[in-house]
Amino acid sequence: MTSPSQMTNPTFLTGTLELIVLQLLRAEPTNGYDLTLRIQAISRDVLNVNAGSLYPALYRLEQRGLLKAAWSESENGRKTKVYALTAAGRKQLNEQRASWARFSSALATILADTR
Amino acid sequence: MITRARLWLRSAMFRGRLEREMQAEMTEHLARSTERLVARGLSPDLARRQAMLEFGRVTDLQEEGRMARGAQGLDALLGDMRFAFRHFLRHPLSTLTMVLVLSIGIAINVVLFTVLRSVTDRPPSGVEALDDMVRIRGSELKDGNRRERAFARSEVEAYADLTRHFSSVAAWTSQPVTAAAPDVAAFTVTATFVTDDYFDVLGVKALRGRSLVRGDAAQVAVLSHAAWTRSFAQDPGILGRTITLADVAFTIVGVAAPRFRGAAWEARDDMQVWVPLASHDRAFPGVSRESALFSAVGRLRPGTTREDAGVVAKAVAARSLSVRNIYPDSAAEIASRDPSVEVVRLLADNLEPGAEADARFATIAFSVLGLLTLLVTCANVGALQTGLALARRREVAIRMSLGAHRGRVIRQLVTESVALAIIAALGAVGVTWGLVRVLLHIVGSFSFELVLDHTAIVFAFGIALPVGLLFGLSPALHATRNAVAGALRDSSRAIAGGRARLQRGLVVAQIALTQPLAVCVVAMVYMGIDVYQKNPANPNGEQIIQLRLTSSNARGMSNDAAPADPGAASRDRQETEVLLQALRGVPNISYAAFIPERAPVNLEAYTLSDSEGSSSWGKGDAFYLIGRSATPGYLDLIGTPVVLGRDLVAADSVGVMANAIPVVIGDDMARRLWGEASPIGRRVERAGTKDPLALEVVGVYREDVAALGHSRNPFTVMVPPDPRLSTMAVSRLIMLRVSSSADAIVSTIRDVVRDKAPRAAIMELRTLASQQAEERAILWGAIGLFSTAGLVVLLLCALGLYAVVAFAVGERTGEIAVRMAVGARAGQIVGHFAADGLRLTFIGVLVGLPISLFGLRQVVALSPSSEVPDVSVAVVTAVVAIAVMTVAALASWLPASRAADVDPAVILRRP
Repeated sequence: MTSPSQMTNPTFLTGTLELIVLQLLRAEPTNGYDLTLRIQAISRDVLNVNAGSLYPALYRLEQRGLLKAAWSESENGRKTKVYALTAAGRKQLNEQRASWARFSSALATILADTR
Repeated sequence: MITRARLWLRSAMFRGRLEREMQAEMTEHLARSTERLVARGLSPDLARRQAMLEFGRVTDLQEEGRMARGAQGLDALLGDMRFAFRHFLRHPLSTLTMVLVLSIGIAINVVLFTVLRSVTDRPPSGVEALDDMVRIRGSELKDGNRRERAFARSEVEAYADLTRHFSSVAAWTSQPVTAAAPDVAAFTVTATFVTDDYFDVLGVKALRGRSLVRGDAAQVAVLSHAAWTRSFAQDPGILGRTITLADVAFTIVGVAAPRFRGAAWEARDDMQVWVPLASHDRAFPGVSRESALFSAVGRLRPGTTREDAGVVAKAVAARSLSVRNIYPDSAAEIASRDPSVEVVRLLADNLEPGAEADARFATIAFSVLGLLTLLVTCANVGALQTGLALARRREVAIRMSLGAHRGRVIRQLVTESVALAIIAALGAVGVTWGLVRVLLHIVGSFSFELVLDHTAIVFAFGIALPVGLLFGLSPALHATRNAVAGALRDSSRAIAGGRARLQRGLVVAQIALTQPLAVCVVAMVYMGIDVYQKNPANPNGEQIIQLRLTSSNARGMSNDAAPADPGAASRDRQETEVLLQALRGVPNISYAAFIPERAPVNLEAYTLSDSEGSSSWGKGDAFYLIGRSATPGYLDLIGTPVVLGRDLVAADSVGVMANAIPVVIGDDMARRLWGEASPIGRRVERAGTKDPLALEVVGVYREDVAALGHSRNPFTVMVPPDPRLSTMAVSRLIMLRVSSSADAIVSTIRDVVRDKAPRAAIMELRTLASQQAEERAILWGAIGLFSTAGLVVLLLCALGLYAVVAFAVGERTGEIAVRMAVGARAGQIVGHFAADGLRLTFIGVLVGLPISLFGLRQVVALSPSSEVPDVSVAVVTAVVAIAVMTVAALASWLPASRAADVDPAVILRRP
């Protein structure tokens, strides 16, 4: 069984972190801090993405035109940078989801057959 | 793709803002983390520490953020640039030298490119470059070569009728005339008679008033900017003033835009007046409609290609020529001349059918010259850069020992050289821009549009980048190819030796390449001085006046394209005779004669006649004769009197018709052919032809005081004029000898011409001395220009060598100190280093020798075959070798003398 600490390993997350970010931002635009909390909450503390991995991923996606960012004011009056999915990001998400579905079903088959 | 490029550009351009945003975002993240932990019960201090622990190192994160944005390359580049400029400021002298040398190299290329493009790829001066604007260019075979053929009016009209292909066609014919206006001194101007659409087709606007338009009255005129400036002192009330051209009065309705001066031969003259074609017959009643010579331009209809229009025009030309009987006779002449027409882009210099081939040749020649200059520059700066890189090996070693990998250091050094090249390119563009401005300020305008546009700037930077890489990469590779420890210990002699070898190799290459350039330049100077010496000023020049009149038979600016009008020719002859009689009657004019400028014998190979027995010249050896038309008394007039036999007499012209021509030859030619024997009565025959033509010597003129107004050539013979040829000329040259001051008599001559030859325009009226002075001034200008170029080349050569020797001295101070400490004298040390520099020069000179000889032959071949000066290959090569060696000796001695300043006591005490 993989421990939560191992799951924070950026190497393990490479490839999937972008998919996670795109998926969560599809639901609603949000800032970097809330995104870490949501990943943690939705994965029930299995995935603990630190800022060192998250922000470069966000900048990379923004640089590729998959996200757009805008400054807005939060409820407590703080200025915060909110990321939202672009049309290209939506398209990329759909492709990555399909690809991930194929990969995970293949992996599940291998694990089931060689048990 | 576009979005990504936009985002990259944004991250490159707004780096500061993005950095601040990144900082703010991370600060906010940390604040919220801290608040969350405080809410869980941690103390604020502990909560903050914990939050920072979870967050990770902010600087690392920011670096990763920059990498994610792809901006780290730009950061590194800017860092390298900052480092480079700090380095330049620390070494201002070397930097300035390299920038100067590179600027010279790039500027030479930019100037060549600008001139080449202006002449071969741009429309005539003042004409807008438009795709549909074309030149309709006639051609015919002449002496086996395709030459320009001007059109008759009917032929141009036939092209104008091709309305499916041309939206408009304009044509014009030009004629030099004397212009007069109230309160203005009479001046010579090129009158261009144009069709209605002329200004419209060329897209030329008026600076003042208006241009000529359809339906204009016949007697209106537009002045060129130069004519308005020079003859009317930019009179603001010019519109409405009267100008008289060939005795016909015109009202000035406009002044053309400043740089416009025409689109064919006439553009050589900036003094222009454009008048409607309808006025031509009034101004020149003697010239028939068909014998005026026209040039033509047109605008293509949308969708028509130049090739399509050319095919149609060719068919029309064939029909027009045979129907109108343009050639005096027969289908046979048309077949032999093969007249044709083509439709080409309108360029400044493509009137001749061979213009495209000439442009290609010029492009290749200019490219080779430019490339050679660049190679010399690169070798030079490369040598300097290598010296600097060697001096910096300690700095490089420290950087590498601190973890900078080789690629990083190479990038740094190459960035420096590229930055230098870019600064130099900026300098080169500035120099060229200044040069163009100064030239245009002095000259006003050229027949081509001389402009420094964006393509020249792109070109300058386009060559600066590869040049920066070329001279920067090799030294950078060498500077970084070493063991760190060895460099830091300063004991790695072998490595330093390797780099020094590269530097020395570059200097040898530079001298080897410099030499051919210097040889070509010296050869040009040598040829200029040769021409100068062979054309001494005529001692009687102040008393000899040249009067050149237009001939009423002149048709445009070309001599040969259409047959003479016999009526006009005989009118001209009569008029000239009457004029000469009147001139001879003027007090103080002791001689007046008409000198036809085309001689019946010229530039042909001759051999001694078979009947010649005793001759010192080889029997079958041919010699080229230069023929000059001379009338009786002409030789006396110019100060080359007949010393043996007799002068030419009027009856000698009969011999020209009979193909046995009496001639007067120079004494040098007489000696060469017949030694001390008398040449009178001897004969020479035209070589290699079945058409017999013999020349019989009737006299000998003394040549050593010759001041003939042209290059002296021993085989110049004086031939009686051919009455048939003299009717073909555009102009008539009359030579006068005066016994008083020439200035005083000029106005009298003008009055006589106006009285006796009212329709002729005075094209030239000045003393032989003033003409020769002008020619010598132009020659001196050319000699000065080439001498300056030679000095620049030598300067380049000296700089490279200076750097090498200075570097060697600087590197070996320790060794010098030891040698001096054990008794070596300062002279020996200086001699050693100077000899080293000279050795490199000698090798460079030897390597460059074959290239120089090849280049020299090309330069000599450029000079006109008739007047090849005696350029001695040995002399030129020796002059260059001595000059290069002298400069090299100086460039080596200066830094070498510094070696003697080394104080062993100080140097050897150093740790």
